[in-house]
Amino acid sequence: MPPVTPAEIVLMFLAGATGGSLGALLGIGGGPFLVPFLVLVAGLPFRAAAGISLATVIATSTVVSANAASRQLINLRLGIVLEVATTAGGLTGGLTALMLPPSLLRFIFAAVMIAIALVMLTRLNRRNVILDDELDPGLLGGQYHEDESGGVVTYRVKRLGVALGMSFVAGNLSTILGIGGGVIKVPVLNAWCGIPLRAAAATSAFMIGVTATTGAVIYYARGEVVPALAAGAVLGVLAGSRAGMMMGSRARAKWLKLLLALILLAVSVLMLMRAG
Amino acid sequence: MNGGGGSMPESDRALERLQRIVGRVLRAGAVLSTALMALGLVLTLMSLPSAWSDPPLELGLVILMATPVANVVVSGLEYLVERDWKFVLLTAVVLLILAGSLAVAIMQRAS
Repeated sequence: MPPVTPAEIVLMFLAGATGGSLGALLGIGGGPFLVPFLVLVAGLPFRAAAGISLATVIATSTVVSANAASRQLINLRLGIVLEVATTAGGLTGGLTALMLPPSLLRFIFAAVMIAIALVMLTRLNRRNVILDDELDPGLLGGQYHEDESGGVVTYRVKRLGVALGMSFVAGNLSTILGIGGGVIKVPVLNAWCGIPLRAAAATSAFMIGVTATTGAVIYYARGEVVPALAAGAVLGVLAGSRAGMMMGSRARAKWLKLLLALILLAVSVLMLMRAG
Repeated sequence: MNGGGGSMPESDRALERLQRIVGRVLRAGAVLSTALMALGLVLTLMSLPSAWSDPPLELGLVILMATPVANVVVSGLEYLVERDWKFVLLTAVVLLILAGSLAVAIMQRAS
């Protein structure tokens, strides 16, 4: 393995910072932007890019979930139930990725991202909060205090089977493609399973660390994750997503998300062309 | 004891405790792994030999990957203390899958 040059580390940090901030602004994590950057600009093989991206997913998950504000939104019980599905999906995804040729991996990545970008374009601003503290949350439901309304939000989990199935798919795509997978399961948990968006997002952010680990250790053991490059990307993504979240809370402009979804679409088309 | 109706405040306290513990594990993992990776990168940027910069980079990455696993472990232990068997079982299944992926990783390394 050739030694890593300072220029490469700086490139990784910048790639991570860019991917992390765009991903945080759009609420989909750094992966969807970082992986194409690593493949198309840095010229890394797909699995190396996915492995590095998974390391950044774990770091983002860890830092976001350690934050006290998001911690009370995390539904730990639901998390462990769905993690059975996401880790099973993650492990099979990691195994699948080893068997598929890189060109097919690039194609799957592009196809999934194009679908995600299109879905994002159709639901740019959705929220769903039920204010009812009389409701019995049941075994897997939850409760949290919402600052803006000052009320307690209580929810029950509906259609657990759907949540489990989608979690498996999200875990699978997570380790194959090097993305967190929250973008796949959060809309479903929210729209179909009755979980408020913030609780769904916080619980998903918590789960993706465990999910990504199933794939990350496999890529790492194969020597596809160069530690110096991964470290640069991890620190970049952490810095970038912090900046992105600050920008996002200040300017929650719809057009910005529109623009970013279009960028994601364009990047995915580029990946698709590389796949051919 | 968690049978029957299960008093709400009791389980609330247990859940809060678990949230605190999980938060602590996450914070420790985040601080330790990012500090080691930053140290390794600084050493690399100073063009020091890789014998110096590689150990902190590798250790940082390993701690990063171990943090979510540690989290699952402490959650499982906490459910065990609470005798919440359903969740002990679920946590064990997740750990088993994580062990499976580690086994695949070790086999990849060996081959």
